Amino acid sequence: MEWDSSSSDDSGVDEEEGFLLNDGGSMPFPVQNLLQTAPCGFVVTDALEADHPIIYVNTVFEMVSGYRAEEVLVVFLQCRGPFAKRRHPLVESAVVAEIRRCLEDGVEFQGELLNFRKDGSPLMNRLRLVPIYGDDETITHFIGIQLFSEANVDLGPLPSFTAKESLRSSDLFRSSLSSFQPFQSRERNICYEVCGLLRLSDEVIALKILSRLTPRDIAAVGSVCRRLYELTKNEDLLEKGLSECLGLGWGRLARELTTLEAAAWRKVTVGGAVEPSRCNFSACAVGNRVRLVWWRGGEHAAYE
Amino acid sequence: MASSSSSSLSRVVVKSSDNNLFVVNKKVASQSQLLKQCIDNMEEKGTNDVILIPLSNVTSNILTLVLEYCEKHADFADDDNNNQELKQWDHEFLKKFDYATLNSLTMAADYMVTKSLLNLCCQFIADSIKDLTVQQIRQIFDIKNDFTPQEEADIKNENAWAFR
Repeated sequence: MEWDSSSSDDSGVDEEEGFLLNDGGSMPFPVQNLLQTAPCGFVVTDALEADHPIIYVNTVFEMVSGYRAEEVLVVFLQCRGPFAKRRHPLVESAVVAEIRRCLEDGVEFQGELLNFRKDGSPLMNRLRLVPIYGDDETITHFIGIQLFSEANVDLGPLPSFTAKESLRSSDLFRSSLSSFQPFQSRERNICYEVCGLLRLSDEVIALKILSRLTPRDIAAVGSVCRRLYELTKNEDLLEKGLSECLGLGWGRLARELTTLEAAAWRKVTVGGAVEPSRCNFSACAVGNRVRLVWWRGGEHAAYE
Repeated sequence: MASSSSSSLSRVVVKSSDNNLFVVNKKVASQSQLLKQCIDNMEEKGTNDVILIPLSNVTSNILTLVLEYCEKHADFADDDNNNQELKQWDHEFLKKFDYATLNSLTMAADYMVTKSLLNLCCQFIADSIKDLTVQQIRQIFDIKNDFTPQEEADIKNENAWAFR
């Protein structure tokens, strides 16, 4: 039951070495080759269960991720490793939201997602999720096909999210590390299949909070520090903010749109246009979508 | 012990991250989707033993608060008429806490999938941010201003519409 011991080292910077140290003993051949030939990882989830538990992973997945099958099947869904407890800010929430949407709608998903090995090192995962239909046309399984590549990202120090969370998040992180091992080894047969494929993280909580603020307050929060600034630029937030406005009624939306005037319009588009620093396909999508949504909102509001 | 139909658990034991045990009755536990699913799963398997649910992310003082909330809401679970009273209680409940506690509580509510509590906390925090100045937010949440003067000026410019 020593399999988790290596993860107490939270540096996770030198991927290759950390990985080999971690599971080197059980590795039949060097990971380096594995990544060059880029074989696929396979994961099958049970779509009939609400939380999509993983029911199969292949050996490539095991070797690349550093998680062994039994760990994944029994524990992974609940805990998803100490490093997966909170979604890293570099994992784009837009992609995660898209995956969630695809799972819910039962459509295929293709995209790139930042993942983490068991030892916490980053891994780029070109993921394709395919629904599998049973006899009665219901989706019974999802197959995840994963092409792994090294992620050239600088994880930096453990990020503190918004101030609200940062007060505690580091403590929480530590406590989750220290309690991780007894958690599995002793109470192994107590339900682990609980949490969903995509757990909320505190970034999501922060966005949840932000989505309840008025644009003026969001601007204030965004002016506080860098991390919050980035957070307020989150495209989900604009969408969510908008949809909540819609939920609250057209009147409020119209009022907000009129009070924001042209300045707000510029702000929003600038927010999207700045994004290319994150440099990949979702960046452009961000710009477009944000503008689109607002435009649509404006149109609706005009009807009001 | 296998008294009622097939197997139904009347209570569960929840363990906090600092290894304190809490005996929780099923109705209260069901307020948390995480606990509820554990219970459901175990019942499906036909276990009659008392089950132990370890929560590796929640300390006992926070767990106490979550359970207090769950208990209150379990009492009101059957009748919607008392909504007003419950809302009042919710508000009084959160008002007592400092921000650190409130944050931990929010995280715990998220982890234990207690949606109503999560929403409540988020709303409460959002409400307390309302109409604060940038400086006040920094002060209250103890955030360091890590912008360079140039960045700060840019952002001020960008957000000028908000502070007219």
